[in-house]
Amino acid sequence: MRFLCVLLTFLAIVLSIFLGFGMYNDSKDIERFDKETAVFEEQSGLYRAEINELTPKISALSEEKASLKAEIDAIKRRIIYKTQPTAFLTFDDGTSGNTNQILNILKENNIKATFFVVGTQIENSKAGQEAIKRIVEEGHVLAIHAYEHEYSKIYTSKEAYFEDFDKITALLKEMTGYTPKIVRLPSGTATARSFCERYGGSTDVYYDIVSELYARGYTVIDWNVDTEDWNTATGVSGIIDRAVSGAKARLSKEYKAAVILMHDTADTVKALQGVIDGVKDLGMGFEVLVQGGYVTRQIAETEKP
Amino acid sequence: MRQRSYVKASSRSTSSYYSEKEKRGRKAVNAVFAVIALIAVAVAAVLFFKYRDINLQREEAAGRLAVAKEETEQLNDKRRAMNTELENLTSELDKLRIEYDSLSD
Repeated sequence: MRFLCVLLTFLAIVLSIFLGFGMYNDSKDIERFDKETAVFEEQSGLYRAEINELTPKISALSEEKASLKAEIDAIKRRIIYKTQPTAFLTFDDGTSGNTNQILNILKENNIKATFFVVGTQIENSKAGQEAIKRIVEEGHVLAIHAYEHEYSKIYTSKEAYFEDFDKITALLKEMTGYTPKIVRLPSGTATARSFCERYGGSTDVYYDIVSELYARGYTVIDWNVDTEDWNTATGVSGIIDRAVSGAKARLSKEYKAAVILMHDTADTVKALQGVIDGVKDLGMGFEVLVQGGYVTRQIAETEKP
Repeated sequence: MRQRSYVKASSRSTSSYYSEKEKRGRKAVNAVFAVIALIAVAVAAVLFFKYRDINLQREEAAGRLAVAKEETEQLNDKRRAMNTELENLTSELDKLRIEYDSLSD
């Protein structure tokens, strides 16, 4: 019994000594770990501060780089258009039952065009939606015209215009996954200004609309060659003549860029090959409208005079 | 004879008396040993639990250190990458500015 007690006591004492040493070492380790942790945390704090300082700098430089690059691209394009005659085929008010035929002709000629579409033409039309899909898939540029092509409605105020505008951008985003950035005002800028005065009571409405479009990052582009294909009296040969003569007139300008206005009409389908051939014969190439590219506006000012 | 018998009886009773005392003494000593052993075991047990706690704290401190070290390394990598990006952007911007100036001319 005593021997057992002595043995137990001995073992307990030996164990206690080991545990004591263990505790002492662990306490020292804890102290060391905490000190090292504090050093790392302090270092992390310094790195975080540096990162916080670097983030806005990088962001600002990236923005400056993107903007400078866009400006350089725009200058380069403008330089190109000074020497290289270029035509931009643009189709307004679509899609329609003629859009597929237009796309077929463009495909046969390996030409890309820009389509300024109207929301009411596509929202409840399966064919319209299929055409939009084709426009995007075949590499053409999808651009914004309006949701409703109703001058007396959209040009009454800036708010009315953007109510309509937000509907078409949302619709196109839902259909394609992105928001086009090229805009053509229904009737073009010059007539839009008159409509704003008539329906909105002041040309201020027009300037407010255009300023806001630019503030939101959109580019407004008119045309400088009107085929008047919307007018049935023009006829197929009239469309071809107007397109080719209008493009030819651009060759004598500083910028040899012809933005040709057409619509998705039956006569346009019939005239399109003639237009393409005639413009090609002038030595012009074909391009799509892009941001930072060639811009034409009938009213150049985006701010109130 | 009677006397001897008395002596014997007496000596027997004395021996029996010492034996009881001795037994009690032994018991007391045994009890003291047992108590000491118990105290020693109890102290060892308390120390063991205390050691376990401290060891746990050590593991936690080691964990915190590892996390802090890893985070610091990650932040350092990020900081280095950002500095490199900044240098690259600055150099790209310089080139773009030169290109812009030459195009503007």
